[in-house]
Amino acid sequence: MFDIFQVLTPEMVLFVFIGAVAGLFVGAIPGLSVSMATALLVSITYTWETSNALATIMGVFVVGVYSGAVSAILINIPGAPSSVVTTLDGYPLAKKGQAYKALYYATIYSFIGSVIGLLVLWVLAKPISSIALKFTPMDYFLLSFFGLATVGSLTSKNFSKGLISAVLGVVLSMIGVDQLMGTPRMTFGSLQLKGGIGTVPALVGLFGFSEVLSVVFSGNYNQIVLQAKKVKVKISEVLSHWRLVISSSAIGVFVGALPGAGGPVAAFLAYNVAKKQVKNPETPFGEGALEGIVASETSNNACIGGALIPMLTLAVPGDAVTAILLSVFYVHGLKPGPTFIAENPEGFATIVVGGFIGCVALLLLGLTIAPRLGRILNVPKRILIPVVTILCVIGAFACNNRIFDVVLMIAFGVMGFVMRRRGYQTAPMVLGLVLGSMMDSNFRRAISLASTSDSLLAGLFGRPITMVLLICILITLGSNIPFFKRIFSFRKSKAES
Amino acid sequence: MIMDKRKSVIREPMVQDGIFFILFAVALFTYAIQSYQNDFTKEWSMSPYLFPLVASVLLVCLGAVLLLQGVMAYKKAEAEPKEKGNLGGVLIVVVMVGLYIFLLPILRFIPASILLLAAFMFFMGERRWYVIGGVSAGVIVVLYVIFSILLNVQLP
Repeated sequence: MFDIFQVLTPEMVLFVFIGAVAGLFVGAIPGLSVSMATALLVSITYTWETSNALATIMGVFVVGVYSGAVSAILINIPGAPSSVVTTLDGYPLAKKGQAYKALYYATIYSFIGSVIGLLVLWVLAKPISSIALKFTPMDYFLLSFFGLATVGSLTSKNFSKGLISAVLGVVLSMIGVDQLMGTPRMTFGSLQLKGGIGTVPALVGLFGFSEVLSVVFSGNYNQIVLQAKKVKVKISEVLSHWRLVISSSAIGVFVGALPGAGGPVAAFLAYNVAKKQVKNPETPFGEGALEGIVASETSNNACIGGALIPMLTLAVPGDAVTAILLSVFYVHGLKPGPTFIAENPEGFATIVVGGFIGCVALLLLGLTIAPRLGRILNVPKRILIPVVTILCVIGAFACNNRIFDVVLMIAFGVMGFVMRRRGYQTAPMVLGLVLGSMMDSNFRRAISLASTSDSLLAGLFGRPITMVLLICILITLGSNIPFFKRIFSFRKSKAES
Repeated sequence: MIMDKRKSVIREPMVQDGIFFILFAVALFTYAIQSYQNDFTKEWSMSPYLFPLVASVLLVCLGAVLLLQGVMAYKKAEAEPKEKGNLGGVLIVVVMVGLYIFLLPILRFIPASILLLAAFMFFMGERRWYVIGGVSAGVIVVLYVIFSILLNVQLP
């Protein structure tokens, strides 16, 4: 049996750390993404040895996913869609002067989530990929819909407003050329709109530029952003959330193994489960609950291992980064697929060991460098906010090198500002934008497949996985209808008395 | 905060939002039907306009719920607290950034960005010219080095 640690060499460790440092900065800067950095590395590492190329990319991947939490906590701008959930509790904690604690928790639980995800990849790649194969287009559609229904209930005091935000995101995702038919939709003759609405300009606008406008609206320009106090965090306190770790990492690995679902869905689902698991948190969810950070960071980092499972065993990428990683494999003559692990144990070992070293790098960099980044909170708003604006512009432009994306960023910023003023959360809109095209294509595939069966309803919903997902959606929607809420709370108080 | 007594139900924010989303959904529905009739001859199940249609129906329902919630909130509440803020400042910032985008192709990234940073800091109350000049120039140069030279990311 191949000993996977045979591939561990000082050279490999060095390459992982180089990738890790790059990942820390790329992931933390809104507008730059891990997938962008990985895409750049494909060409840079073209002439390198396969093991060194894979090691560097794993370093970028593991640390890059974590570092999205850094900007999410410090300046309420998530570095990536999967860090959107971290803003819900990370930024409120930072506003209370506990940015250091929030970053500490994010680091530890990102490390734990990544390790668990990679362990599952090492041990259970085959069984999980066989379950993932059973998912039909309808299941993917319902999973996405469940994610949207969940986020609508989690992030808004008014469930209807949360759902509206999510549906608007889905509608905006439909602008551009249809994936299945190649037909332009809602482009109104504009060549720019044919390229669609990018996730990055929307993310940067809805979180970054809208925050800039909110600060300007509030008028408190002289205030120092936040006082980031270095606090001593007991390790026993940090590790007391082991139950949440188990549920969040299970969700992260499983959702990561479903191609296209990814970090944002996993993070929201894990957050939802955390809210149900932790009945009486010290601080309410959405106001700085550490359990919120635990759930989101554990799950979105566990997704790393999960996303690698279908990529290695089925040659189907789990997310954007693994799609690019697949191209690295092909460039270097490797062929992922059902026989990959048996025929290329060295390649598999490099991925797994590189990932584990990346986890160590995450812990070291997260505990040493990331808290120092918290010093930006000591900068007065009248200096920091203009700099954030420039970063928003660079971030929006960097994705596709289009000025139109910068215009979109401003439009989304204004929209986000108006939404906040009127009590709508922007997080559901981001999730709707990310999942919209996947929902659309899977919905139509499901309808087409079911139309060939004797009964349309049976064809759509007549499978165990589909029924389970449908029940979850109905429970989520039903539990947010005021009528059912009153009945439930009446029964609960009756039972308690 | 200023207490603002609502004169009619139409001034209730949720009622306004509900009406807006219903109208938006109707427009989306009309667009989907017309586009299907004009451009697409295959069955609905594969039509790219099916999902916009579904989304419009969902949006109408949600808009109606919001409208009802707004009407109920209006009946219960006597007055709505209204937060005062610097809306003019928000408009100025949007115009400044818009002007910046306009000037980018003319002046290029470094001069245009230094101008924007300086103007923005001045607008937000910074009056120390050495801080405005130093921070604007320093930040832009650092960002240029990091993005353009080290990361090879194209700047606007």
